This record gives sequence, structure tokens and C-alpha cells, in this order.
Amino acid sequence: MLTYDNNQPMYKQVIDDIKKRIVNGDFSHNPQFPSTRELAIAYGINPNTAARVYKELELQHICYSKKGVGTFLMNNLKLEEDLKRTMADNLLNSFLSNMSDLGFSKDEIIEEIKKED
Amino acid sequence: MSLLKTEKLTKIYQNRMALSSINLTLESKKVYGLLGPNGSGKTTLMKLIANLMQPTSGQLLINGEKPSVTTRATVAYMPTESFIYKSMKLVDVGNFYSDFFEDFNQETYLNLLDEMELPKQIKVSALSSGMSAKLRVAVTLSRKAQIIMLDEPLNGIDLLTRDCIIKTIVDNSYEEAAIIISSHLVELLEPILDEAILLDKGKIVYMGNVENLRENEGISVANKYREVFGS
Repeated sequence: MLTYDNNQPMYKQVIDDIKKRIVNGDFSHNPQFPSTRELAIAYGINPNTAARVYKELELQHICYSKKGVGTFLMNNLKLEEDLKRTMADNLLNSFLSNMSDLGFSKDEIIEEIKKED
Repeated sequence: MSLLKTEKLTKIYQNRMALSSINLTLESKKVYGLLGPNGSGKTTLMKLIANLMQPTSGQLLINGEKPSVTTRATVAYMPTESFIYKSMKLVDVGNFYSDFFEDFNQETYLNLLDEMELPKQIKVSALSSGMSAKLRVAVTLSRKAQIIMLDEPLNGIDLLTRDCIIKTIVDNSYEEAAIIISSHLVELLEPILDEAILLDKGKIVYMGNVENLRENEGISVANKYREVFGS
């Protein structure tokens, strides 16, 4: 189960986790998401928070819901790639800005990365 | 009409003010955390809702009605103290409660015993304190009550049993119910709450949606608690 940072909204943390799973292809064979209640149980969150997760994912055009049937991954070939790109950009931007706060120049950062295996 | 509404609800024991002019509105399908130090009035509020005592002044309405035998049938309350006959076997406890409460679901009860790994054929008196805590939760959650109140369900039990109880509350609560859980183990309860109600010396000092708290103020309920009650 996910370890939560209680200072951050729960629904955002669950959304980030679901996005990672989409990128990893967890839904490529079965595009149906668990029901709200199943999601609540799986993530140990409250059912209203689980409902909010799906609402936000719909607003972001990542999933859609069919009344009485369930919630499904949007049928979009570029979705996984786009999500991966956006998440990578976010991580990279925050990494670069943190390193720059420590006084590293872009070239120095590249050197630091090369040193890592 | 709100499921539960209080206006200036006040309870005084002899000369001690236990609850002071509480205004509260609770809705169904939400999980409320009733949080505060010992003596802040959490149990008193629950007992008033359960119609186990009368307010000194002010009003409390459940579905628009004053607490009575009728409203009691819609409220499931788990007190801190043990309330189940010790000589009964666990399997018989279910039959006993079905006789008392129309909304008691025997099947849910037996499933909960399985889920929490409680043996059905032993007597209540043979249970450890952790098992006994689980049993009290099982009995309370087996009712399809509109208001489910659990007073300190996590007290005095080990970490794994706590996890089990929290999971059980999320998985098995009657979906239409308002659930009220009191605790001072704020961190453990946080992930499953909709609303936090912080009580101090009989007064509500904070009430709000926990996700909004995290989103707007960037702090957890536990940190809000420290902010309110810390020095």
C-alpha cells in the first residue's frame, strides 16, 4: 500500500500513483478501473476521496465513466506517452530548480549525473 | 433535512462543563473524526447522540426528531468499555444482537469475524484485549444504522490490530451511514476521514474537510491538532 504524506491532499497522491501504473502499462490489457469502493479499499482511503480521484482523472481526460458500467481508461494511443512525458518534465523541473538552489550550473549538474551509475 | 443537527448543545455534570453550546450538522455518507484530548467532551457528545443521556440545554435532532427509542434504532454506538456478555460464544453474540436490532445483519457479522480472524466457537471471556476490540467493532459495523459511532476503537491495541480495524471500517461500513470515530491517534485515522472535528474543553475549536485542509493550508490533521492544542 501507498505510504501517504498526510500534509498533501490524499486524492493527488493516489492520482500520481494511478498515472504511474498507467505509464507502466497496468491497464493496457484491461482498461476498466476498479469501482470507487474497490479503489477506496485498495488504497485505504475514504470512498469520497476515491470518487474525487476518478472525477479529477476524468477532468484531465485520462479516464471516462459509463453510467452503471464503470470507469475506463481513455482510448488514446498517445495517452501513456503523454503522461510519461508530463511526469518526467515535472520531476526534471523540480530536480533542476532544487539543484540550481544549491548553486549548481547546468554543466555541473550534467557532470553530477554522469558520476552516478 | 440534516441527518444530525445540534444547536447550542450543552451538557453540565454537577459543576463541570462537559459540552458548551455545540452547533454541529452531520451528513450521511461521510466519515467524521472526533478529535481532542481526554476530557474534551468526545464521549459526552456520542452519548447524547445515542440517547444515553440528556442534554442540560440546547437541542439535538436526528432526522428532525429528538433522540428517543425511535432514533436509537438508527444509531449504532460502540462505547469504550466492554459491553458484550462474557459468557456468550462469538457465534451466539450475532443471534443476540439480531434480536435487539432490526438492522443487525447476521451475515455481515459472520463475515467480519472471518475477516478479522476471530474464532466463532470460543467465549467472549477467552478473548485477548485486541480480539475483544475487534469483536466490538464487528458487532457495531454489522448494523445498517444511519449513524455509526465508534468511541476510541484504536485504544490499547497493537499496531497490526489497529491496521486491521481501520481497514475493516473502510471496507465494511454501511455506505449510507455517517460514521463518527473518536481517537487521539490522529495520524492513524487521517487517511480515512472526510471531516475533522477538534474538541477542546467542551467546545468545537476547529471543524473542516481534511482534503481542503491539506490543499489550502498544506498541513495534515495531525499538524492542525498540534497547532490547536500545542503550547
